Amino acid sequence: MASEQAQPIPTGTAVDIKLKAKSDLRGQPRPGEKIIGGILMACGAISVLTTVGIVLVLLSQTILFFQSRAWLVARQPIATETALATVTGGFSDADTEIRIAYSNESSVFQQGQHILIGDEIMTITDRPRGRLIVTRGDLGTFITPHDADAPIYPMTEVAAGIVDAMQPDDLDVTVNTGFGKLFSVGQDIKIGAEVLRIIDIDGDLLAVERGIEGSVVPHTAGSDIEAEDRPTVIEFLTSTVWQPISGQFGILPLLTATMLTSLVAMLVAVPLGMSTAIYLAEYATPRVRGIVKPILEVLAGVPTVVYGFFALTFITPALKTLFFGDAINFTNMLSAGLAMGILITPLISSMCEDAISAVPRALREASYGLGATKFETTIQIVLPAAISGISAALIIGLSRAVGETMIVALASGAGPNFTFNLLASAETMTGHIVRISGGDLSYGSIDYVSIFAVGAALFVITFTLNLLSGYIANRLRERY
Amino acid sequence: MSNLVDVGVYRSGVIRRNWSALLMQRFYLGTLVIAIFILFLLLFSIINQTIGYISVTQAIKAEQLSAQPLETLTSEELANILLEQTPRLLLVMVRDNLNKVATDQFTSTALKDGINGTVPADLADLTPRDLTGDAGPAAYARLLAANLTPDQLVSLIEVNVLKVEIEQSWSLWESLTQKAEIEAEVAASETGEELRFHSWLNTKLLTQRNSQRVEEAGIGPALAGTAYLLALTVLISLPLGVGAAIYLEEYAQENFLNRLLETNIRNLAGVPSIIYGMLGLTVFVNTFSSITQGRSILSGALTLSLLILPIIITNSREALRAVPSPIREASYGLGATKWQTVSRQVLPAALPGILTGLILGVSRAIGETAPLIVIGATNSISTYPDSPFSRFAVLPFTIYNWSSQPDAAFKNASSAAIVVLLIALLSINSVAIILRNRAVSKRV
Repeated sequence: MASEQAQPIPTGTAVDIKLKAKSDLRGQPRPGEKIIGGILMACGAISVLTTVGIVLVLLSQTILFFQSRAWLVARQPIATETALATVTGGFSDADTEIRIAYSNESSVFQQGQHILIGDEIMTITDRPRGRLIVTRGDLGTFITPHDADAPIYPMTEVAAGIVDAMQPDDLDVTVNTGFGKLFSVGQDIKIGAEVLRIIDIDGDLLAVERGIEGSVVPHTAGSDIEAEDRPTVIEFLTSTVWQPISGQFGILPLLTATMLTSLVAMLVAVPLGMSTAIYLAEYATPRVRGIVKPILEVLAGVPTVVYGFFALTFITPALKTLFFGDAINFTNMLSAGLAMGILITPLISSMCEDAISAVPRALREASYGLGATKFETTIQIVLPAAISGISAALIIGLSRAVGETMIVALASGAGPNFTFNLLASAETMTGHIVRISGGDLSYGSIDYVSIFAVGAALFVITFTLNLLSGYIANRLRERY
Repeated sequence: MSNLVDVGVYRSGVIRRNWSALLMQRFYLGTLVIAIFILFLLLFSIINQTIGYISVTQAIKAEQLSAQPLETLTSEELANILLEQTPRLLLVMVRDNLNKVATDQFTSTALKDGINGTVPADLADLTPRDLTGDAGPAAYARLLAANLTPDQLVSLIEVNVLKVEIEQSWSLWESLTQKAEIEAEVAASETGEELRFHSWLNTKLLTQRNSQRVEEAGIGPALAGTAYLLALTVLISLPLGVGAAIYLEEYAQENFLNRLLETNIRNLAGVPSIIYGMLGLTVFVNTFSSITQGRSILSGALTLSLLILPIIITNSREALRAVPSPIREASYGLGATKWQTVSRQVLPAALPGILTGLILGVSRAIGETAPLIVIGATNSISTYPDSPFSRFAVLPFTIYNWSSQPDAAFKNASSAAIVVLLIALLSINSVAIILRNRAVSKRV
């Protein structure tokens, strides 16, 4: 025993510490370390570059959009000299149906054609036998009652043209009678390949500066005048028509569709997501949570294009057979909104659950101690305490809905439509960007830059919502 | 006496309050059930479209071609059927299925150089131009028999000889509940329709190229494109994301710049994916088109990398933070430098967490459609991607494209493609769950 304990440590295998790199121990900085630190920082900087890149790209292309211009032949409807029909009966301010006595063949009017009765211009929307359905008071005219036998003048679209031939030294353009009001001072016009700038307007006589672009050349009488159409910020924000082909860029139809689909989504997701969260945080046993949480995660992880397919092939047909019949369009905002609501429910639910779980137990116990039921505790104590987290979750959910693309691209419709009818098809901002960029766009064309203007609006909306959510989560939080 | 509590009133109040508490509990549970029900509805509506009856018309019945079912024949017998029925189309079939040179050079290239596969010795030095008269079709039939599987030949026969066309399709639910009506309808048709029970999810769908005709449409190149794109995305985003996470967790001081960085990453996570697509379109596709070759897989991968970077960074940071600091301190105590500590101690310990984050990012990327449409994914491509610079098709875009086709049968094909996408997604996610569980059990 004693001899075993006294065994000497084998000297041959003694640990021989060699101080190979003495400089390490002296704490001298190694150049490699600095470089690695720099590389890692550069990785982090990529994210800042991404943000800067997004902002720069959207900003620069949006500026390009507002600087771009389209040339559209200036036209306006002109009444023909002979009336083709007369009004039978007479009609008041509110009527939109004109009964007519045809004095000529029955097919003289077309759908979409303008007609002139008295001083009022109307547009024909439908023409059943012996009648015309019209919209009243178009093109800035006033709605007035009309007598029986008032003549109806059909109107045709006439292009503005120059009346006299122009020589290179002419500084006046005479346009055909009544067309002067199509132009404005400072506007550029194009005759042939030459661009001229209007410096004064006197009735139908335009004083111009020649050769803004292209060379100064003579023009023959009757040449068409193309007017510059530059999208303006005011037009972009207030016009209710988005029709690139006719130079009309108003974001409102896209914006309302985005807002309506998001609203429907929130109407689904807020009650569903919040009460699911309350159940999971306050009532569920660990076993139920263990089953339900993964299911919600699966719902959250399903690609959005699948939800789009679901909306298109299941929700819309179901709504059609169960509720609306033929009133519902094949693509519509309601089914897109419903699918989007399902998509953001798990997001809202999980964020709300986190917020509710973060409320300290002591608050609940105090409430129970005062005799409150579980429901009363949840509604009156826990939810108010978690309100910052819950509102942050709702705003994030809204932001997600606004930016959601594939569901609306598939199920909401392809074509801007300014309507508040949820059963109608209307294109959202994201849906429009996808549809336009899906085709082959030529780089720098007005269609190309216009989607960036829409994208910029989308970015501003979602970014504001995200910032707001972060602000609320930070500032309104009760600290325990 | 009057200030004593009226026991009756008190009781009824408690009962009412308890009832409303119970009612609300049921209500909350109800919403939960609704949420789960919706998931099953979603899955049902997809599976429902994947299997079901179809009615087909065909020019010739298979029985007229051969006494035995086509599936039991050998490659030579099948090639002979093609030779008898469609001798003139054989050149095109060889070119579409076996060609490995540019299409316009195929007829002037010797077969041994132009064919992707084995070529019989007596044909090796001939070009398609040399093979005139009856020699051509016979030679092409031999080439097809030597290089294609019987399955591929059967599908060539179906397309070119039988000319199978799907006239109508029914969902699984309709097929099961309205069987009699469907049979009656098909029997009454004048075009000689034939009813078949068809699974849209089959090997043909997985291997064939996309086509205008739903009978031939497949997702082969789209699947390959998705895989290629994801691999490149991982290669780009993993080092960047982990690097940024290490910087923020281990190196960064608490200063304005780094706080900005953190806020920025949080905000980037909330930017709609389509905005990333527009960034990619301008920067990668147009500005740096000399490097990325425009609408290429590389452009798509770079864009998706930026998109999933915030996810990877956030998850990697959490994984790094979970590594106990005594590990670091012990390493420093042994004289290791910061990078040695990070690379040899902290990173291996945080690896499962980092991989989980990566997989979460990838499962986000696999379903992303909008940015790739903006970047220029296309469905008209019929070749498999062969380099990072080739144009590409991706699975979610195929689903989108097929779903918006007017032909109802494409909706069935689309649902089959969705099943493939969901299976891919689930298998990727289950890897993440396994990794997470392993990491948790190790820590304990």
